[in-house]
Amino acid sequence: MQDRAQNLAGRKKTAGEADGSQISVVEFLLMPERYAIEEKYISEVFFLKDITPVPGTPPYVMGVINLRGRIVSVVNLKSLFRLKDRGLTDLNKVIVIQHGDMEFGIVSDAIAGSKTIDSGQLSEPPLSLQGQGADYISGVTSDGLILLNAMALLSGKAINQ
Amino acid sequence: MKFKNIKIRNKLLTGFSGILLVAMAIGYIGYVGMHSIEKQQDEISNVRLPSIEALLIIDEAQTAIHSGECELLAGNISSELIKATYDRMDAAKERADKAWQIYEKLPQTDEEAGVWKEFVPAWNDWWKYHEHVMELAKRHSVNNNAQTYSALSNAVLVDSDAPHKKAEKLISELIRINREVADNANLNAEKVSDYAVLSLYIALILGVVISIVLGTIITRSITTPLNQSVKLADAVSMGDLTFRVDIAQDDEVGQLSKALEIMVSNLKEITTEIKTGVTVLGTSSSEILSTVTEISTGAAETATSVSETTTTVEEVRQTAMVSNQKAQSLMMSSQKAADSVEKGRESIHEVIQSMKKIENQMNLISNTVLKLAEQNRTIGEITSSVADIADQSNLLAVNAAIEAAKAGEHGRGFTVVAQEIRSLADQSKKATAQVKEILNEINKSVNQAVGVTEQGSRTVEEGRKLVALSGEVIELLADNVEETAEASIQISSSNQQQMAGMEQIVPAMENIKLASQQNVTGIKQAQAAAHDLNTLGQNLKDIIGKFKI
Repeated sequence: MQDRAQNLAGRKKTAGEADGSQISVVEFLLMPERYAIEEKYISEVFFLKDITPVPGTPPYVMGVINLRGRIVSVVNLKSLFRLKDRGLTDLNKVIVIQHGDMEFGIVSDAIAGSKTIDSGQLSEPPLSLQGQGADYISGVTSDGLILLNAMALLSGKAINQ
Repeated sequence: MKFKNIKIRNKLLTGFSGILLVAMAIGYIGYVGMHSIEKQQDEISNVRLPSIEALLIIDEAQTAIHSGECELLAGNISSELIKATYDRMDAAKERADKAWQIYEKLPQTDEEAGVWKEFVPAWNDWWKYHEHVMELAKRHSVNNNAQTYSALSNAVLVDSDAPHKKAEKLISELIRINREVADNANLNAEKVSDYAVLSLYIALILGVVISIVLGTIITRSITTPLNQSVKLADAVSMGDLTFRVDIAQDDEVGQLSKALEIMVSNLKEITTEIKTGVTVLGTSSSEILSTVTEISTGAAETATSVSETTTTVEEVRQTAMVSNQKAQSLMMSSQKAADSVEKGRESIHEVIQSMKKIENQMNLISNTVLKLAEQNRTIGEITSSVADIADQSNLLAVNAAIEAAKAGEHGRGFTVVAQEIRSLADQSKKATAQVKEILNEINKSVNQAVGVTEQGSRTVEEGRKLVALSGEVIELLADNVEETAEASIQISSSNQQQMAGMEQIVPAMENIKLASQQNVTGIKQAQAAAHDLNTLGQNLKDIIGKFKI
């Protein structure tokens, strides 16, 4: 077990050396697209159970939840990015992102797991995505994984308002 | 009354009367003319010509006497000669007196009478001188001297000359008047003759015209309707009854035409009725012919049929014999069938028992399958909760990885553990997915089994019912077979009777056959008669067809 851990760590290191910067991300699914958020902004993931809708909030705020005593608002990125619903969606998993005092949850269909990607592999988001959601996208990997800019989301006016 | 309505006799009388009138007019004109001419002629020949003759005689006598006087003057004449002269003078006087008497009796015109009155004294005056001459002459003859002679010659040549000339002149005047009158009469006669001839010409022409006109009118009034009647008669003789005459007159010809018209009208009615009758006759005879022909065909067919029937009856008789034998064997067979049915009844009872057992077993199977479905569902629920647990494990692994990442270098080993946990969670999730699939398959099979079992139960139920039905059917069959057995006995006896009947039918059919052949012969004759009748009808139709109505 230890050997295997060492091996994996070494491999990661070599990969990091080859590129210069390795980013740890958690990959999740917003049907049918795959998204990722940097692991360092994620505090935890859990099953969405009881959600309390709050009146007077924008439509992308689904409501608030009680997370071990803390009140955290839950945001639907699809609604925020004005994406149309496609395929069967579940949206019963919550990824809590945090930076400083700012903290909120993002609903997703499934959590694919954590992985590392080369920052060099990232390419600029295509022009067709420019617009409302483009500010929140750091880049797109060659296999179509969209890396969200967690800082932008956390400091985003849309969410703060 | 119109002319055309006058009787022919009267018309003819009128015509001939007209012509008679014309002839009478001509005769009258001729007669009057002739009469007038005769009068004139009479005047000339009986009055003027005798008058002139008498006057001429008187004149000649005077001259003769005067010449005698002159002879007496001659010297030396013998007494005989003197005597002859006296005689001649006496004869002349006699002639003059005779003529005088004739003339005086004849009628005279006024002018003539006036001249005559003058003449008579003139003559008498001259005669006196003559007698004086005669006296002187006697004296001379006695005396015969110069004195007497000179007195005589003076008296002859001087004294009597003036009265002689006067009388002669008056006679000439009288003759002239008479001639003038005769000429006038002649002229009158010629005038009358011319007038009469002209009148005759006019009368003749008028007569001819009147005759032609009257003749034409009368002839036309008779011949026109007669011609029409002749045409009508001709048309009728040609069969044309539509011809009409238009004669509106009451004479004999008109009556004849009317009678002809009435005759044609009656003929027309009769012909129409005959035509109708003939048409009916033609149609009827045609129908009779066709009917008789049909009957003939029918009779021939009947004869054939009867002949066939006779053959058939013979066959039927033979068939009846065969069926009699069959009925015997049927009786035997039905007895055997009754035995078999009894065995079948027993078998069906056993089958019913077996079916009940099968039904019970099917019920057991059905219950078992239902239990199996229930358990399958329980396994599914368990598998779901296992999948849920795997999901939560996965999240826990992610959280662990995050926490490990936060721990930095110290957490690296934990990262690996978290990875392992996550992969296990994945595996268990896959495994549960497989289990779920298998369970789905099982579920499908179980559902099918449930369906099949239900079907089986139903089939068994139906089978049971069918078997029960078969039982009833076999019961019925058994009854029927018994009835059949009885029936077959009856059939057998009936067949015996039928056989006897058939033996009688065969000669009867022979008789019928003979009768039907006679029937055919009779119908043939009837057909020939109907054909003749039809021909007759057609001929009559043709004849009547010649009449136009």
